[in-house]
Amino acid sequence: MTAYLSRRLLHLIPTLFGISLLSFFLIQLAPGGPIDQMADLNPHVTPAVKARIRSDMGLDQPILVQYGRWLKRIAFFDFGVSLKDNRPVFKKITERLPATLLLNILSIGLMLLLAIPIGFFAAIKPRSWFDRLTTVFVFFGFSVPTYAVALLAMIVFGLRLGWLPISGLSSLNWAPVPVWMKVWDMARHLLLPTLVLGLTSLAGLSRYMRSSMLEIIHQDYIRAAEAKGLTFWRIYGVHALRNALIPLITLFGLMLPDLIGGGVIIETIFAYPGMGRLGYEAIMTRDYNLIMAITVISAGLTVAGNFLADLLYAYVDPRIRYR
Amino acid sequence: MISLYLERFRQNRLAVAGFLFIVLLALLALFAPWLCPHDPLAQNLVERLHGPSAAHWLGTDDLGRDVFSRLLLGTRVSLSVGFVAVGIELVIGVTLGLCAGFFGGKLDTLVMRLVDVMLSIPAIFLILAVLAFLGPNIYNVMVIIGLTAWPGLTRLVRGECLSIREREYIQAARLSGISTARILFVHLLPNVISPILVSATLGVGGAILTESALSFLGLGVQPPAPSWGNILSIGRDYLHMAWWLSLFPTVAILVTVLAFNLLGEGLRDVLDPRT
Repeated sequence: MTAYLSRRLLHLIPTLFGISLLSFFLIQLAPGGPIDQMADLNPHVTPAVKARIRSDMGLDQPILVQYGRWLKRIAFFDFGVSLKDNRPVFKKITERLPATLLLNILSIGLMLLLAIPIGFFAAIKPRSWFDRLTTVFVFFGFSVPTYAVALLAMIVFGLRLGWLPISGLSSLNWAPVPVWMKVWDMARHLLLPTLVLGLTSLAGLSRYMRSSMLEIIHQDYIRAAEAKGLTFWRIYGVHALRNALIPLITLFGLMLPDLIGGGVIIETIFAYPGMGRLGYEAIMTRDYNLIMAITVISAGLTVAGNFLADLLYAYVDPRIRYR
Repeated sequence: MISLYLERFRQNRLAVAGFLFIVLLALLALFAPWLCPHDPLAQNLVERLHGPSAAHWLGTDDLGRDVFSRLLLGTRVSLSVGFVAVGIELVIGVTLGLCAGFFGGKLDTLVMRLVDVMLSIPAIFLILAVLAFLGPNIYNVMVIIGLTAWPGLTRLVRGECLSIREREYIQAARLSGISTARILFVHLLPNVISPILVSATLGVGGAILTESALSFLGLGVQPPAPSWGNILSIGRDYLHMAWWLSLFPTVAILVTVLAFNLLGEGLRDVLDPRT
């Protein structure tokens, strides 16, 4: 296991390096630079002042030197300050991160809770009414635009029925109420974004669960279990299910960036105070340091997630470790 | 062989339905300017935000423009973005995948690390940033969707390629001194074409979804030119009073993407005997 672990860790280095390279040079695509962005609207900024700011910020250095300096700083989580309000970028992100993690964990939980049983029962009786129904559902899930579902949910539950709030994470009269009411208030705000994000992304996973399960139940050891006369639950619920879940780990790792990416749109629509909306706003206002930081951090989270998925895979499937 | 595939395809009714719908949509897109009952750009402030009626089948928007005509013209945007983006994806993804799988070694390592990097950054982030920096227009949208879509395809093609390159006929081709490019594109490519076709078909649907989301966020097709996404973004502003502005573009996107997905899954059933 140690050998496998260190090999996987070594793999991470070039990937993280590539991520930093891509994030940094993405910014260079922008015409002008951060200085032009700040200075163009201010008539007091003369070319001389502009040049001084440039050299103060190190922007007159060769591009590779700038990259090297930036890399050295972000290694210690120093992502610079936001061009918008001069606050440290890392702080702005860590403020928003819990809300994003909360939304993602809840919707991932919802997704797993639904996708696994759906795939399981669809595979046990292929071509049954349940299988057909969920297949139709899956196709719609693949084809429907997430943001449109969000709009629809906002119309129906927010505006027409008036059951749920449609934006933010908390109501305005936040401070004076007791804790349990705060939790209740947050739960109500979280319900719509969680449902939309969870339900629209479960299509792929349930489909994958179904085919993984289908493959397993045709294996010899399942026939052996049947021949031994084990109960239905023992055969499918224990022997088959456990093995069918293994390949899901990899898929799950692959889905992480999509979830975070889906969050960008959902968070923007629901005005949810998370990292995704922060990233959207950063891009729209060309807050360069913030854009680079969010790209690096969300990619870093994905890499970490994938690494954990690999470890989990190696743990549950010993064949991987010894390869 | 081809006739066997055709026969099997014909029996898959949903896939045939998807295919026919796509053909219909392509015709609509081609002849859209002549089919529109109203000028899609003509404003009529007297008739703004009217619901569906005999004159305006799907209602009018905030500037009194005919929604049906705008949806019809929007078909052009969706289909062209879908096909061009996937075209770019195919060129990059297939070439890199074939080369990585066939040559192996350092090239393979390099390409696969690049794929890892691309797959770990949320694509929507790269797309939004590039569009915000280089300007939102339909050409940038096509190119950037294509440029961020290839890593998955590369991985797929490489995997298929790895299992085929040790086969006897490839060995024989190498020994007989055929040029490497010819081996790659004439001998190897046709044998990995099935999963590529399936993935490309599903990819068109995905690209259409992405384009509509970008236009919805204001980073895709710019008004007054219509696209399904930017009609929806107007609908968002009038959620409480003009449901038709949100519903009809959603249905258009849903049905179109559904058609590509049904066709793609149908192709998978037809071309891949394992499933």
